[in-house]
Amino acid sequence: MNVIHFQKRLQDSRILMVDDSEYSVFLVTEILKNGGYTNVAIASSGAAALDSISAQIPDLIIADVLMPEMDGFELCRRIRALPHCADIPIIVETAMHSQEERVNIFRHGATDLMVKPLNPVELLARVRIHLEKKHLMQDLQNYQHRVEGELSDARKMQFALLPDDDALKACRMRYGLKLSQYYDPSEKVGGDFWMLHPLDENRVLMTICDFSGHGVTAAMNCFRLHAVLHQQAAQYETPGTLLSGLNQFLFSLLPVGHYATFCALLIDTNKRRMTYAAAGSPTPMIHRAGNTQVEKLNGRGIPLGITPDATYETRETEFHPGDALFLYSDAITDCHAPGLVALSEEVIAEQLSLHAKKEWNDLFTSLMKMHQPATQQHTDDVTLVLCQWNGISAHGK
Amino acid sequence: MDYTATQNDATATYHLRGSFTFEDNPRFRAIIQSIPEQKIKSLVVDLAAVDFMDSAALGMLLLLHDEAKQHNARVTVANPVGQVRKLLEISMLDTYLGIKS
Repeated sequence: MNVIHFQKRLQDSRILMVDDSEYSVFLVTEILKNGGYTNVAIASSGAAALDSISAQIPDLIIADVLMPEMDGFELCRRIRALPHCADIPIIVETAMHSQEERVNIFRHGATDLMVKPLNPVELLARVRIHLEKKHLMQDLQNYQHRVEGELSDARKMQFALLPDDDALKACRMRYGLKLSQYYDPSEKVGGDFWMLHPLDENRVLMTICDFSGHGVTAAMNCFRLHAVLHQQAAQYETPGTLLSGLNQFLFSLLPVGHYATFCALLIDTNKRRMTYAAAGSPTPMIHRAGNTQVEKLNGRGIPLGITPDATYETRETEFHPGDALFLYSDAITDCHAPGLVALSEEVIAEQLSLHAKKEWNDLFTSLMKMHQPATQQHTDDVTLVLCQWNGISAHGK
Repeated sequence: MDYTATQNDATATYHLRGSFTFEDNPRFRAIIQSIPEQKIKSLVVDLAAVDFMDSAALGMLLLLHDEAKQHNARVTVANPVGQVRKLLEISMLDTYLGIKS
């Protein structure tokens, strides 16, 4: 902050002086003027002070205690009851020396107290302290308000990265794949996202990503990688070559210690196969049609962006009508905060078997209830994706 | 996370305890920054008493590895158990960093 600029802001502050004695008003305004404060409004009674405040809220109020009609106690109480006036510093001047009365002034809402006769140096010092505090608090609140607004906008942008209802519907029409999702960043924005990349009439690619850390940095990395994937994902021959390409890109981009876990899965409805490659992603799971067993895929692989030497093999499994693929972020399996329960792969597999019988209703709700039985707060970003193949696509295959 | 350090010739060993997470960044960075002065050839991070590690902690191990490499020292991760072992295995950092049990 610019010191000279701040000094000027302090001196331009509007100060309201409330006193019925002309002599006191003269004395205080002279002291203030000598201190560089010239934006001073005068009120000769409590009622006049309230009128002045409703016309323009001052930055600081100096009020006398002993005034006819409305005394300083009552004035403080009324000011505090006004909207936007809870934090205005009020310095009360008094000749009272009894402890009880002095304490009483603070109880009525005064910020500070000065004993008459006033000492000019002390008055200016107190005025300065309270004005500084008031302006710094105001700046902090404005800043917080602005950042919260920006983060809310960023959050909307982040949700817009995810496949929308139209994209999910198109996937269902084209491939017979029914997709559902649950997404919740731990802060306003987060480091998770997943994408759908329709390749041709029979093949669709799914990607899921989780950047290390969370919050703004992780979210910005999401946007960068999302843009690259959107443009380039379809150009790679296999999930393995896609991951190698992304790894090179992220290695050149990310500082040491930052990385992304990632999984790319390509469903071929014609061949009824799924090829996939993983970079340290949570174990993807497939619930097989008519079976209670859940197949765990292999999520092993060096996360993207750590070393340019990493290689990613393309793995393969079957994918048949009735099968359901479940993807999730490690937030639900690796957590350590009080109130959160880490779900083991076995528990997740059990839940998949259970919900397969109930046509997958409430799978996400059940998992989240088990993960956070008492709280709505997680410490990491949560993404859950379920992809069921009902076997009917536009081609009737 | 807490730790104790021991040094034996050119090998420094750090015994970490508790949960190793994002919040330990300043403390672990102090270890990383002390590498140049220590003139060691080998650095062992003993995780036997670490019961939980998050992605940020994994990142810190990578930073340590990188800094050590620049000073011709080797980092070995020792004795990971439970969730910590699983995290290192799934990310294949058990092979990348070198693990001894």
